[in-house]
Amino acid sequence: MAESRNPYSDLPPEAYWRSAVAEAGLYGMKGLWASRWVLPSDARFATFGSCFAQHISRALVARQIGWIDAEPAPGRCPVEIARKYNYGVFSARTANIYTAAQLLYLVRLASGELAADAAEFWDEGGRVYDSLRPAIEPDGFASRDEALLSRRSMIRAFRRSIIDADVFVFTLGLTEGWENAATGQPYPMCPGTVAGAFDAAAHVFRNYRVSEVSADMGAALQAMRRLNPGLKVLLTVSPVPLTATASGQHVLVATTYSKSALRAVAGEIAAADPGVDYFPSYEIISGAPARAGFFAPNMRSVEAAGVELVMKHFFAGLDRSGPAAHQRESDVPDQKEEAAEARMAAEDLACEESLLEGFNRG
Amino acid sequence: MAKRKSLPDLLILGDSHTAALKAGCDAHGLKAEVLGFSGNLWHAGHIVLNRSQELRVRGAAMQARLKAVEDSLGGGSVLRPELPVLASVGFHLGRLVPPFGFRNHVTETAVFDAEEDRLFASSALVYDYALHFRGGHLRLLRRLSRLVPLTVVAPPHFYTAPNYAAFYAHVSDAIRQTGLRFCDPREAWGGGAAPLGPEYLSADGVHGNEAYGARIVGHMIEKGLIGRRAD
Repeated sequence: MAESRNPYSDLPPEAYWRSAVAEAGLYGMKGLWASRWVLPSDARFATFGSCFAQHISRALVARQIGWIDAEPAPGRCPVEIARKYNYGVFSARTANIYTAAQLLYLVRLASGELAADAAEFWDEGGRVYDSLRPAIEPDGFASRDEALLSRRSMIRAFRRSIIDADVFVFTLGLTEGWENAATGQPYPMCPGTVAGAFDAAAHVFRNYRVSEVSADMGAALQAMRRLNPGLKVLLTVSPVPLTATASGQHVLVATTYSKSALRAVAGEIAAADPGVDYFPSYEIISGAPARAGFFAPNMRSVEAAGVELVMKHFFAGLDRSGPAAHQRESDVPDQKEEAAEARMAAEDLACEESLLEGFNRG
Repeated sequence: MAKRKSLPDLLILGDSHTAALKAGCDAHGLKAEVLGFSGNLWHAGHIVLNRSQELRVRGAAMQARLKAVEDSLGGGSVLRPELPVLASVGFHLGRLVPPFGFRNHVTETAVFDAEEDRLFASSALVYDYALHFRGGHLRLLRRLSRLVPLTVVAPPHFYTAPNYAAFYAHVSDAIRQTGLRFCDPREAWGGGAAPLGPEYLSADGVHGNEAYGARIVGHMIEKGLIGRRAD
């Protein structure tokens, strides 16, 4: 009797749980992800999303792979000050973008569909907070004008990151969020938690459905591609559980809904759109092989070892074997600094001459 | 050992703006000794007070400059309780402001609006940045104020390039907050924020001239910040 053939007969080891997971073990898993694109060797990445996205920013910087820093800290800014003012976390100072609704709102700002002052500012204790990023400055802004200028600066940089990127990496974080009932403006966090004041009549809780997340992501992608038609989007889902839920469910159940919905949307979009890919950071941290071992004792924060493993798979699957596509604009700031250094040296000389002339007079 | 001489009315200590201050003192008949080092040396922290509360500077040429002033005052430390010090110390904006703008950050709305590649920096950020690089100078000035009658004077406010006015204001505020006796030259010109006119600038474009010196020193005399020393 001839051996029976079926679709599973010739599948590679990665297709079988026993060989791919159980026998391979956590650190032996291979082929978890292979980029669907051949990227230029000097590919540029913009990174945004929920807090887990910042690990991708850092890993790209550490490997000197083209991370777009469209809103860097000022020149020679001490590291502690840059950190205090949330520079260098994402490609622009958007702060965490937890929901698809937030991403869409920011893209609308970047494309000019919404005016920069469309979103609220909150006055509190003589300081002004940007409702889109209430914790972006440690003590808010000195005035509304200043807060608006800073927001406009962020919007410029966000727009530039979309335009300059080969790959826009976006980490989906939450389905739960808060919106303004009248304007529909989504908030990154509930008003009254970090800044602002909660008003039950004005602020509504949303636990976005799969269809809503999908629609928002679709609209955001469309608007981003109007700015950069060749833009590729790499989606990930943050494995970090919810800090709290306002859904009325147990937080574990709410977390599972949230992550499942986001994972499903990411998969759907990537399946339908060749310009979108999905990278499984969520699976690496939250999947059974890790036995929750990458979570800190609070069962929420992800330990460095987990991040390291995620990034190992990320870089293993990344294909940057294409020819370089960009000119070395990175040299331009250096030239500008050199010119400024030369001017400062010339001024030093003028200062020394002024001192010497003073001595001569004396 | 150098022979002890009669002391001048004041010691002008600081950066290259000391030259205009000296010219101003001359114009008003104040006898002033000058100990000046280029702003980049102040910026780099090359001028310090040691544990014996003596002024020390790095580099042989600069040490010779310090020694010459010590000798001119009759030997020993230049810092003496009976000798008032007018300090042009703590700003040195020529070394502080340009690097801040290396990544296109600006503080002025007009510049931000006009140039699409500009990024805006908040006043809190500028203040923290300025204080990071000038905190040591403020500590030095506070220590000096415990040793000598001290007046700190800001440099001439001629800046038109981006960010200078903001840094000038923030460093001025930080000095005021220390409680040190402080002269803000803008007050001598009516208190406005407008930059000084070219008639007060030296040919190099980065220092006040003799006319500037005469006016600012006259203002400080009028305000009782400096004067003839009573022996």
